[in-house]
Amino acid sequence: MKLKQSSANKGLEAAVVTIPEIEAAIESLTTPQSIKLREFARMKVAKLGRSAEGYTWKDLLNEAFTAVIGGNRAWDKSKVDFFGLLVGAISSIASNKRAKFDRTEKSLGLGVDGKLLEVPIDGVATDDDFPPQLVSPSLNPERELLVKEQEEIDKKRVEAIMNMSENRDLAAYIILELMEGKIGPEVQQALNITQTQYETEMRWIRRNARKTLSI
Amino acid sequence: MPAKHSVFEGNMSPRDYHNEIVNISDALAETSIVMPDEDISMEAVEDGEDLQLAAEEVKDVLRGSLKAFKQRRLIEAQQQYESKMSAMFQGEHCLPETPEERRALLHSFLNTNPQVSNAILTMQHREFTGLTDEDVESYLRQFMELGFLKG
Repeated sequence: MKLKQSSANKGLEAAVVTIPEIEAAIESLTTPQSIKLREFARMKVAKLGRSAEGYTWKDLLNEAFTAVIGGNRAWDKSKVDFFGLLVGAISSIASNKRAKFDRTEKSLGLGVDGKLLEVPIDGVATDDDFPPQLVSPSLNPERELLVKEQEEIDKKRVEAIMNMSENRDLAAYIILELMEGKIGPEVQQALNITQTQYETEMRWIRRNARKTLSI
Repeated sequence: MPAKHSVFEGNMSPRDYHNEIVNISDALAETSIVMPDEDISMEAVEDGEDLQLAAEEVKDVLRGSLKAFKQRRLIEAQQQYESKMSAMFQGEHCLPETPEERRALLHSFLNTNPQVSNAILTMQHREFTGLTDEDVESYLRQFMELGFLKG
């Protein structure tokens, strides 16, 4: 369906949908789909760690949806439904946020956008005759502390997840595979288990991990 | 199947806990999407949630985002309109000096261009009863800007 052109719809042009269509799409989300979106966003926020800084699943969902209606993400309705569109947008926003934070953390002296920060040699005014000096790439004590703090938090979270599965062997094995970045069939293959076994354990892991990690 | 926890034993390189937690979170996120509808609903109920309220909370976020988007667009459209009107009033149009002369010019223009009058002015304004001096000046400037009138 083609967009009915109007200034109020500008931004939705790329998505070739109208605001009333978007409104209808929101209302047509089923209850399980809505809850799945929330859970998906919650888990994606959980992986942001310290970079989340008070960022919640609602913020992530809002940001993802705003990217969709703002025209930053096109919606080809023949390929993906509204639910799938939101899942993709949430995933993309969360990954970008994480990657941006990691880049910033790993490169002291580099700005948030990965640009070199230049400081004048005398620390005061910038003069074209004075070549700028780059900030030292070594961590300052405060930053080092923050990095160590995050490492400690991550370690505790991993240990908490391992401990929660202490008395549930299959879940523990699956968690180890997940930690290595495997998922679904890869895990089933690695552990030689059926899809039903995998799904049963994943449900248990999901529910308990939410409690353990306070997600 | 390997002994539990043995995966990391003997591995001398430092563990990347951060990467491990990211991988776990991603896997759990994916699971929540592919879970059967009944399972995710049952899980929420077992957690003491009201399914309808939970779903409405999600939809409210989306409705709020859409409302903010529409408001932003309206504000932008309003700003564009104001900016255009402001530019129009600052434009070099040669208007009659007095309000009476300007009103007479508009009247004359509309009488000779009834199609414009019909398309743009309401009946009340066609009778000139409700037009303020500012309205008259604004119409003249807009007609000049559109090329209907030479100014």
